[in-house]
Amino acid sequence: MYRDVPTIVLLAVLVAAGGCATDRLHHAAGNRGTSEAVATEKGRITNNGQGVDSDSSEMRLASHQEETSPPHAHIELVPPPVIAAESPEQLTLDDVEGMAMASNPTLVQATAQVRAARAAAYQAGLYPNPIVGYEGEYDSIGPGPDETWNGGFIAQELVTGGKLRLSRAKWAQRSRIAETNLHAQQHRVMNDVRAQFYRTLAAQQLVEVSREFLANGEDNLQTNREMLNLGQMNQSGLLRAEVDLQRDRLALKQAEYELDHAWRTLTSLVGIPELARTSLTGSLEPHEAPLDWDSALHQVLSCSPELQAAWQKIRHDEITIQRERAEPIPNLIASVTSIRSPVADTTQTTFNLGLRLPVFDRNQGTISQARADLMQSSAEARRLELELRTRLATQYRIYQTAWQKVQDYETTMLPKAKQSYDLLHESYKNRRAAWPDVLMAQRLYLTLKAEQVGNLTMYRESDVAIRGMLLNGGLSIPPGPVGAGHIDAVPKPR
Amino acid sequence: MSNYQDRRNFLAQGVAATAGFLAANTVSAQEPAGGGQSIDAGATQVAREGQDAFPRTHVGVGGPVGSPTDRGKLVAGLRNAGLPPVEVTTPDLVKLKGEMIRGAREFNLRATPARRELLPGIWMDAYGYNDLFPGPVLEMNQGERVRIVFRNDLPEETTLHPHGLELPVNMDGIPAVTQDYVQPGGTFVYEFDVHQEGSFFLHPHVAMQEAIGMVVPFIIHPKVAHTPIVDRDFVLVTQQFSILPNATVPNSNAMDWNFLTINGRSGPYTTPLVCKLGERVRIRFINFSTLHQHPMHLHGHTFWITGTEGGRIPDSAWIPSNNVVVGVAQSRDVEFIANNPGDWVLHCHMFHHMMNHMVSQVGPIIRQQENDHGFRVPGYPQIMKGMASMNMEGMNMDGHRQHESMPEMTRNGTDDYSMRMTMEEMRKITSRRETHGMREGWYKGVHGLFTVLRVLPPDLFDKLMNTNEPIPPNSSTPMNPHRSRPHG
Ligand SMILES: [Cu+2]
Repeated sequence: MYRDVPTIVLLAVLVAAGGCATDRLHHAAGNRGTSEAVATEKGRITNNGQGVDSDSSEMRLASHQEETSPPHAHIELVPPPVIAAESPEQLTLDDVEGMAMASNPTLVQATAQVRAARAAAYQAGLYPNPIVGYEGEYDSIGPGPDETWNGGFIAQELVTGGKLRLSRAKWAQRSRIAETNLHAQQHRVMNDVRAQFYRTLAAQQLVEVSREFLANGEDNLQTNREMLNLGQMNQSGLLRAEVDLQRDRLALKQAEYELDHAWRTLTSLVGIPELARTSLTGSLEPHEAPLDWDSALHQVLSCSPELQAAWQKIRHDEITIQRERAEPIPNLIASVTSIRSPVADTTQTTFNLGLRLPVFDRNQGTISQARADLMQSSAEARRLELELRTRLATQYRIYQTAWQKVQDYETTMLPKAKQSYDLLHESYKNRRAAWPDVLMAQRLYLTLKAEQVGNLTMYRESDVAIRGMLLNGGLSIPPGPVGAGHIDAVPKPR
Repeated sequence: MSNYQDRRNFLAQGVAATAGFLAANTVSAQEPAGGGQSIDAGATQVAREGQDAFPRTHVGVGGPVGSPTDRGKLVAGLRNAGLPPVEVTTPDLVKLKGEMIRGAREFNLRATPARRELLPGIWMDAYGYNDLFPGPVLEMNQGERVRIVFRNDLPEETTLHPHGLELPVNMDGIPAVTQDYVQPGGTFVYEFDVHQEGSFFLHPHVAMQEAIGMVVPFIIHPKVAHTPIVDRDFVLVTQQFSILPNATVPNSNAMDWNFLTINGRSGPYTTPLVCKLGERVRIRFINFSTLHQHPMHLHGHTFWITGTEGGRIPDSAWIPSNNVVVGVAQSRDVEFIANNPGDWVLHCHMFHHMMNHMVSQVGPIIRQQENDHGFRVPGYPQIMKGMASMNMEGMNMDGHRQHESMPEMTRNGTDDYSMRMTMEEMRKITSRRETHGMREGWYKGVHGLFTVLRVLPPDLFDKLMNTNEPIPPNSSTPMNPHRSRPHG
């Protein structure tokens, strides 16, 4: 947020409009304009994502008289750009966020789920087709001549009880869940990318600190050689200095491997594994005001896409009950049959109107099952609230600890360690302190620097998690709109 | 802080004025009788004969071993005989003569915390007296009654012990044994007759207070000036302290020391002893160090050890030497004819005492030279590196030809690890009148328990000490190494 004011303005507008600060997502693409389509799509999804109860307007879409296109059928996904060829010198968080929004395949998957749900909603509201056919009759009456009747029939099932409207409403609700899930997936990707960006940045910094450690260790070995020449050290001590130096070399190697790993993970999350290795530029240090528990909890409980999806699922299950209640209302089956006999020069027309009597099967079982689903999804929303609260508690504990450490290291411990080192260094120049003491003071300072990188990583991870409403899994398959085992196993969605 | 202006004014008033205070307050000023007379006569005779037997203005042997002029043993100074003893000179220390009140020479002493700049820019927070470290030198005469009105301005108990004096036991200042502690804010009056003479000192009888620097030199002149007459009488108190870098309080627990002081300063901040060629000089060494003896070594001269903390030694027991070991809480008086012109170092010969804040110099300091082949030699380097490349920030304060005459000072002048000295620090060392005319850069060879005895030809001495005329560098010791004589 700190990086540009326009984002804050955008945030403020969206908070005012929608009530939820879920749009840090928009920051990357929205500001950079690398992918207009995606950015536009996101904006729309966010707005619709709020509207748990906004389906009254959507209901019209279920009307079979209206051959309107399904909602938001015009999603266009931008193909992943080939960035590897022209990788910039240094990548910022904005850069990698933009790449991820454009290239992470789970966003395509989540978008595909939205499309599928919308298509299903369209399908669910379509009217059943009429049946036409040939009708023939052959009469053999006593000794008289045989008589042949030829003709045709047309039959139409007349849907009653608003079944199509309800089916379409139900599936439209599913598409809403899918939209929320897409929104959640964007958060998952962004959170993972952000956290990984900071981890990679931290790994970069740790490589730098490790190089300083190595320089310290090399100087220490040289100092020990000098001390050996002056009788102030013996062979045993020199060997220890060599061992210590090797430990520093290994630590640098490890830091470099950690950076390799962090980079590979980042490019996978971004969706561009072939992205040429470059350095990241950014800041681990906090520029935001610290989070507090109450507002963090409030934000998660009011804006979590997972929770929104759970609420949308409740609505979905309510519609399902309505739909299943409508099921036993018999559809009328009307038919007209017309046959003609040339012998008698007679045309015979028959009208039929029938219905299935809901005598034995009044869909009681399925209605009951749908009620159970509603019970389940209502409890699920509550369960999810509680689970989010415990997840938040865990992250918040990490956040508090990290924040405190970051502050204390930054304002007190690092400056003091630096000052201690500087004072000794100055004393050494004045021939009052010994160089090994200076090296030790430097090592303490470097140790604190490395620890601070760890603190900042912890801070960034938890900050991203909390502000990102505890969503992660940027490379996991996005979940379907409803869980498995739902009443989906019919040829026509209902 | 030696006030050479005052001294020069003082000297300008003549020797008679110098003697005034002693003459006014002592019975010793009168003509000695009996044996004293004969000693005086003998000394005068020696002095006269010494003119022939012992060279006063250049080096050389005197009479045969055991004779009065042997190594200048009994050769008198330039002062007239029969005058009261010459006042002590106390470089870098305050001297108190007290005031005669109700039949006693009364001194006011307060035990106090005291700050001291041991070297330019290096301060020590010690304990001392009258806000001074070391305490002021008290000067008096044999046979007087002395009254010390002592007040304790320390935040802790203390006492004052007149070390080595034969006095009533209740005046000995030993906590519990002879008196109660003097509480903070409390006072105690020490009053006793001094029938001894010699180089004494006062100190608290609390071990760690002694270790943190509390000492007061206590000089008792004899009723009759010792013969042979001396022209100058210096008091030098040696001490040792352990002060960590970035710290100012000496660690009185320490068993190893990194600051060695003469009269509360370390070389080159010790103010040189200045005397005139041909004078007989006495130096009183008082060692108030924590744990170490100091073999005090004078260059270019042979002195006679003429006194201890017990007072004057009969001349039959004097020992010729150039290196007198002064043990802890001992004093040693030495005397010699300053007949070898030049600036002569006077220092403790314990090698670790010839350095300031001794510390291993491994590290960047000794890496200033690329591909230094010296490291092929085990033991290299022993010289303190970077001293030669001492970087003086700014110009030489006297405007001397710094770059011409001290090329080594600018050779590595920009090096991060060369020795640095600010203009202010340089000024503190070289602005003292007593140092003017010395060889340029002399301070680079003076460290730790180390000072300089300057033996100056009379005209140069008078110009230096009795006028304000500028003295160019290298006036007392030639700059040209081919013309300077090797000594040591
Ligand atoms: Cu010594």
